[in-house]
Order: sequence, then structure tokens, then C-alpha cells
Amino acid sequence: MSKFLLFLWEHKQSVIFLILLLISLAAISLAGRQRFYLARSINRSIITPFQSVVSRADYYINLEKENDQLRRNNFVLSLELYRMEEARKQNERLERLLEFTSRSSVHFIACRVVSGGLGEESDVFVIDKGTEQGVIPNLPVLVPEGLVGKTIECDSRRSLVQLFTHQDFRVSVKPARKDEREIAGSGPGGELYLYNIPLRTQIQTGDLIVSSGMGGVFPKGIPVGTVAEMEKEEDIGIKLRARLVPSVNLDQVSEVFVLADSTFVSPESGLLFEASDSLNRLWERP
Amino acid sequence: MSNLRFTIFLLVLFFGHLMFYQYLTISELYPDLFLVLVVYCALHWGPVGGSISGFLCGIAQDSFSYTYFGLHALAKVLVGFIIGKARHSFFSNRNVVQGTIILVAKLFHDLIFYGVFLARVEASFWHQIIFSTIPSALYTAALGVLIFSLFGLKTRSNRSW
Repeated sequence: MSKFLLFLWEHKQSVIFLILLLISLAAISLAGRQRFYLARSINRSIITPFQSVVSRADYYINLEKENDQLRRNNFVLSLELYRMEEARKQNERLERLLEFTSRSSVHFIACRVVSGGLGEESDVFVIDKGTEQGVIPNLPVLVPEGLVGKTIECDSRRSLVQLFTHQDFRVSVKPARKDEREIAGSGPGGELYLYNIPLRTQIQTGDLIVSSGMGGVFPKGIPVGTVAEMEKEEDIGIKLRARLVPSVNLDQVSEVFVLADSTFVSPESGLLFEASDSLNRLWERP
Repeated sequence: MSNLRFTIFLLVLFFGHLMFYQYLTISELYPDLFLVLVVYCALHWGPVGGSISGFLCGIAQDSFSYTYFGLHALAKVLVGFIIGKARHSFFSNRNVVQGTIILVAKLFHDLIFYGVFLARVEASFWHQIIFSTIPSALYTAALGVLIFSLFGLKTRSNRSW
């Protein structure tokens, strides 16, 4: 025994190195659920509190500038509100006339982005709401400009958002004013692409692409991106793919809202902007 | 270098990366201050210090990359150990040498990391290395040399544990 211990002591450099290497390899080989649990535990207990401090400080630094912008927006929106109120009344009258059933209201949960990853491969956000606030996995995550991603893991007070740049992310989409469904997902370099487009397609450069509502997660009408260019699929050759410019610049996202209950979102109606107030109130709570 | 200054240096790098990562990112250039810390620990303390610091920093990074937990740790442990082992061969306090060590360390780190991470997507591996890793390695090396100079850091070759 003492010889063994002596051997270990003599080769302590290699022993420590091998132990750490084995722990790392063991962590890599963990099953998905255990891996995520470990990651979240470390993240939640050590790292996230420090990042929360920075994100709050950043918010206060930009407060004055943001206030000015909000005042201007508030004035414009007030004028718009009068106009929309009239339109709503007129719409109700017409719906009654045509015996349409009224749509249920959209339920948003406003969330702050606590952290946005530490590396170029981190295509996830951690947000500050979890199951206690009604966030569950597979809910759409949006900003007023459009789609951000979906929730994939939820703790009681934090949730993990898979961004549209994540290699496993897919969403059923369609051009805003055309009836042609395609699949959008992350491609080389984390860019957003439409895949397997037939050669005789109606999609053109400049088209706004929105969610089609067919995937079961994202409601119809959320802006995803604009077609920047069309090219042939390399491996198939008889199909096209389209590179999209995302509607949302993820680098500038600090608040998001989780769409907890909705069946329809229209990009033209401005429904997404209903969440703006709740986003602005996010930072007021201690 | 005094212990106090060294401790401050470690804390600045560790928490600097955790808290200000997004502010240090310029366009597609991603700094890796954790790697600078690992390189310094390896040069300062040898293979054991390099391995342990690599493991701790890697695990911290892994807690944010929800795909392969342990992959950053693996890459950084290897980098820390190898630099710690070979440090007597290239021991120098010249900025050019320190910058080159950080540059090579970052390239080696990313070759391991993306070799595993992008194993499923062969086509994008070299794209990632050429268009992301090399510019980021240059940026990290420049930032590392700047931080070394700022703290007046000098590595030493006579200490190992």
C-alpha cells in the first residue's frame, strides 16, 4: 500500500492530469438529462449571480437613453392606439355581422435574459422565469421584432432557451403572403436557412418569412427572417436553399417574452407589441 | 510578483470573462480570457497548476454550453498540462513569446473542441477554424499580452507543484 502511495506521489503530476481528464471524459459521456442538470447546478449556484449584477448595472447605465426613446415611442403609440381602438370597434361590429367567434387573447410572460453563454458555440439563453411563473419546455420565445427560439429546459425560477442559431433548432415557416411551407433551421456558421425548397418555388429574395403554425410549437405569423439569397443544395442539387437575414439581432436582446398561450399572431396587426409594456416593467421589480 | 497582485490577476481574468464576455466580443472575435488564465497558471505553476486551472475554467464555461458538458474542461486540461510540461523549453518573459504561446494554445484548444463538437458536421469544421478560431486566437493573444503587461506579470520557471 505504501509503495502504491509512494508511486502516486512520485507521479502526482500525471495522476492529477489523468484524474481531471477522466472526470472531463465522464462528464462528456453523461446522458443528456444528467449533463444538463450538472450544468445548470454550476451555472445557477456560482456564475449566474455575478452575471445578474452586470446585466442590472448595464441596464441602469442605459436607463436615461432608453427613457427618452420610450417617451417618444409612447407618444407615437398613443396616437396609434386611438386609431386602433376605432379599428377594433369596427372589427367587432363586422365580426358580429359575419358571426365570427372572437379570438382568445395572447398570454405573454416577460423575462430578462440573465446570461447569453460564454462561447461562440453557446446558442442558448438563460432567462429569469421558470415553472413557478408558468414557463414550461417547448414554448415560443419572442421579442417584438420576431422569433428568438423556444424553451427547452425549465427550473422553478430559470429556463433555458434554445436560440434559432442552435444546430438542433427547426421551425416550420412560410412566406408572409404566399402559401408555401418550408423548414427553417441553423446552417453553417450559425446562419439561418430554409432547406429543401423545390426548384419551382414562389419564394424570392426579399420575402419576409414567418412561422407557419404547423410545427406545433410556434403559432402562425411570427417573423423569422428575410430571404437574402437563394442557392442550390450542395448534396442534392435538385433542391434550393435560402439564406435568411434573421428578424432579430440576438446580440441586442436583453429581454424576451415567452408566449404561454396563443394560437395566432399576425405580423401585420402589431400584436407582438402588446408585450412591450410588460418588458419595460421587468426591471422595476427588486 | 506579489501574491496579492497574482490573486487579483486571477480574479480579474476569471470574473472578467464571466461578467464581461459579451462586452469584449467584437463582431465575430471571441476572446477566451479563461485560456489566458490557464496559460499563465501553466507557465507559473507547471502541469498540475495548468491542469487544475484548466479544469475549473473549463467546467465554468461548460455550464453555459448545454451541448457537451465537459468538453471545454477536457480541452483546457490538455492545454494546461502540455504547456506546463513544455514550459522550460520556451520559457521567456518577452511579449512576442507569451503572445505566441497563447495563440498556439487557443488553436490547439479549438482543434480539440471543434473536432468533437462539430464531428457530425464535417464541412463546417475548417470553416470554423479558419474564419472564427484564427481571428479569435489572434485577438485572445493580443488581449492576453496586454493583460500580462498591465499586471506586470512575469512567468517563472523555478516553481512546480
